[in-house]
Amino acid sequence: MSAATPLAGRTAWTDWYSDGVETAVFVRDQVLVLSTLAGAVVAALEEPRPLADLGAVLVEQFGEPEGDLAEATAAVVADLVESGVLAWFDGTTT
Amino acid sequence: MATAGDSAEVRLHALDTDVTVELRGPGAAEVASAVVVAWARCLRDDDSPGVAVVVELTRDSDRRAVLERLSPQVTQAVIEARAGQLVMLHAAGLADPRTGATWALVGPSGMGKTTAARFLSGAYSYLTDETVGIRSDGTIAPYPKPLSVRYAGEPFKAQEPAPEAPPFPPGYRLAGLLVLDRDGSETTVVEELSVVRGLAALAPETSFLSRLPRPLHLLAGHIERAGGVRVVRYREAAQVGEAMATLRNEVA
Repeated sequence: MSAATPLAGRTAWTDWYSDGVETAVFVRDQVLVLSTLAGAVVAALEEPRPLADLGAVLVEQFGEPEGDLAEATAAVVADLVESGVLAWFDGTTT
Repeated sequence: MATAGDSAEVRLHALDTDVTVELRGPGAAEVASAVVVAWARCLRDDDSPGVAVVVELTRDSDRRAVLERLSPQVTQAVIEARAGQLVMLHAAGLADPRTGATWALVGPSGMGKTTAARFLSGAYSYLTDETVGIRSDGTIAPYPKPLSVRYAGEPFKAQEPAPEAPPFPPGYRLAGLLVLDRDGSETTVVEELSVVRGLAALAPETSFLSRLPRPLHLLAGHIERAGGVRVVRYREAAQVGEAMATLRNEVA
């Protein structure tokens, strides 16, 4: 049995740049400076991933969040989707 | 300059681009003479056709209006010609006449680029008050257009000939990036930005940045070679000059 799982992934940016601390993304003809957490999300999404996988990566880097991990991850991704940095893709897992 | 009947041509070289200004209509020769004076530092001798900038004249054309309009027409033509080749900053360019080290004073209209360029052109070689073009090797493509100056009560911006500057055969090289913020600060405030913040500050003041390969990396390389990006908050052009002198001494 297979199920479609939404995957978070990068959009077709013009470019991005990270100095190891801060990250800038050139998208929709503007340069956005990302928070450290958002920068880590972007760095982790070289390939589209489901939110659960992404959350695990963030926990490795930043530790457990104070609230719900899934909600926290979804909130960061939602902000990045809204600004055009990320998009949702259809994925299929088996 | 070439004239024939009701038409005349003035050949310019700016931002690494050959331009031919084609004036058509009554008074073309007279307007061409004024263009030659105002654009003296951009004139070229060769016959290559270059990018055409066509100016249609009528009997009612006001020469001052024609000259004022010509400046953005030429600017648009040269930046379009260099899209994808140069990093182009909306900036004044001023170079140390001994070393060629060039400051780019970046900012939108109204932040004092022309005023600063005019005020500081005694101590620095004037390269532009409009667009600093940076080649991939960090050298500068000059654009010494006329200074566009608004005088109180005048309907058009005067097109003052670019200040003279001694030739510098080795070429000018980007050595400083200042973002001008004429916020009225009587005490000059200089704020250094991280490379990433510098990218965000400079990007809105670029032309055709997205046409360059890996543009943020290219611009970041120029930022690093220039020793970073600094925002200068000020009121008078003299404060910008003082900030430049202080920063130059710190580097030295």
